[in-house]
Amino acid sequence: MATYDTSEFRTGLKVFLEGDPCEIIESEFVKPGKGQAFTRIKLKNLISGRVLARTYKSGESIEAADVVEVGMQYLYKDADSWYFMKNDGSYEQLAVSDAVVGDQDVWLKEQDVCEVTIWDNNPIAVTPPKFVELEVKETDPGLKGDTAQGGSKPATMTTGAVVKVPLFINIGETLRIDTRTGEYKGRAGGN
Amino acid sequence: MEVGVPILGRSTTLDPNIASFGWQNQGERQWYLQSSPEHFMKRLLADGAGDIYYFGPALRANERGSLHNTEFTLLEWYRCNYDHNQLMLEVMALLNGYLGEAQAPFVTYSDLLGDIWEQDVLNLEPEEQTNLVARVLVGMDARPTKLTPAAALDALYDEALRRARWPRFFVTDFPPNQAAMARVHQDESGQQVAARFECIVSGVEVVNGYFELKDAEEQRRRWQQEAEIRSCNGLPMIAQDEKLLAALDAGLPDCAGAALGVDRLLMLKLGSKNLDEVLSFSAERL
Repeated sequence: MATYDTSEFRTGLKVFLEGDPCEIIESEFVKPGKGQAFTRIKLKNLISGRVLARTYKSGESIEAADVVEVGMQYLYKDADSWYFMKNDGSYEQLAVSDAVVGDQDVWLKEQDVCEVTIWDNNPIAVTPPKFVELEVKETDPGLKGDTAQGGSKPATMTTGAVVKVPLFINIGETLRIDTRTGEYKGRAGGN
Repeated sequence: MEVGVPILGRSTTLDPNIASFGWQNQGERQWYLQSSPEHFMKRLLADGAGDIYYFGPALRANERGSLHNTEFTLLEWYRCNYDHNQLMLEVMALLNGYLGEAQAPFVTYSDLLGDIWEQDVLNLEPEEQTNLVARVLVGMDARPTKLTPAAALDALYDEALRRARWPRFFVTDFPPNQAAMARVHQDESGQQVAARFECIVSGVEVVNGYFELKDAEEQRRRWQQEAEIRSCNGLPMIAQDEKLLAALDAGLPDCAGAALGVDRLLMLKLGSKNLDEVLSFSAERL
């Protein structure tokens, strides 16, 4: 069983803690002058999403989690699954449940390449690309000429995502959205 | 007087918590990169060098973090006929000059832990100490894994420094088993305490100082204890520094010494939170 010792701990490392795969989100080396060295980490449980904390004496090890991120292209969805295809020319497909996709569902656009987190051959998370281009399905009409003002209004994308957009945005426009923050980043095409 | 001392020696600290870089050709004696200039400086003091200081590198393997770099810079100095109290005043003056004036109260190790954890930590049962660590360390679900009592105290001390309310202060009267190379004496209430202090600035340990141990037998005894701990923990054996012991036998003057982390001091002066920002090449950028 692969393990990591404290000197290998770093943000992003996937480890196995109390039955679940977790990802280290913070790692800190501490050592009082003449004393024992510790590493204090914060981790995110990749199954439950919960954040936990652990402290280890220097030199202790924890089990590595067999977790990989695989680039996969989103193809289509049916009633309860989202279908992805491996990006390596193998055409291998994978079905990911609604539950695992969770709240990332509004950022998935057909043909986009996402990172699918696979643990022990099961998908446990989907991460869309950093930016997605989505079409506005519904929004209040903008006021002509209102390009310089601040102020915003909500717009619903075809995926169901609701994003705050400038007042001049209209239905049918394609927008660039930051999937991590849900923020409008501009109109597609570099406007 | 400034002194240069070798970074390469034939001996090094036996402290089980400090890992020195070593090198050995087959059949030859061991070389060690120095984790501190202390051993060489004490030999100079015994030889009559008088007040001396060193400004240069020190190396400690396995130490890397926002406040640690494997290679770092120490300013270490010794004052003959000073005790630790007088040296603390000198440290205070140095920091006032470099960082600006600030009040710096003296707090005993015991009072510091008592103030932060609201318990007489040193007199808790070891299991209670470990439970305390479990309860207070790092937010939700914090659970240290099998801490020894010494490690539990280290964890509580480190966290106490972060939570202490004084921007600058001295910790004094360390427990005797944390004396390192400092004398041990009785405090006013008859308790054995180490004549050791640390100066903490913004939660960061910047200076460590001692009223230096002169007694060769006591030094030998402490190194023997450290050797046993090293052996128990599977750490490499390190021979005692016989040349330093000979110097102690010949007679170390009464003196107090301090070691100051220069990189950390610069970091604090600039308001940085990470040693990386003041090092030209930190360990990962080599």
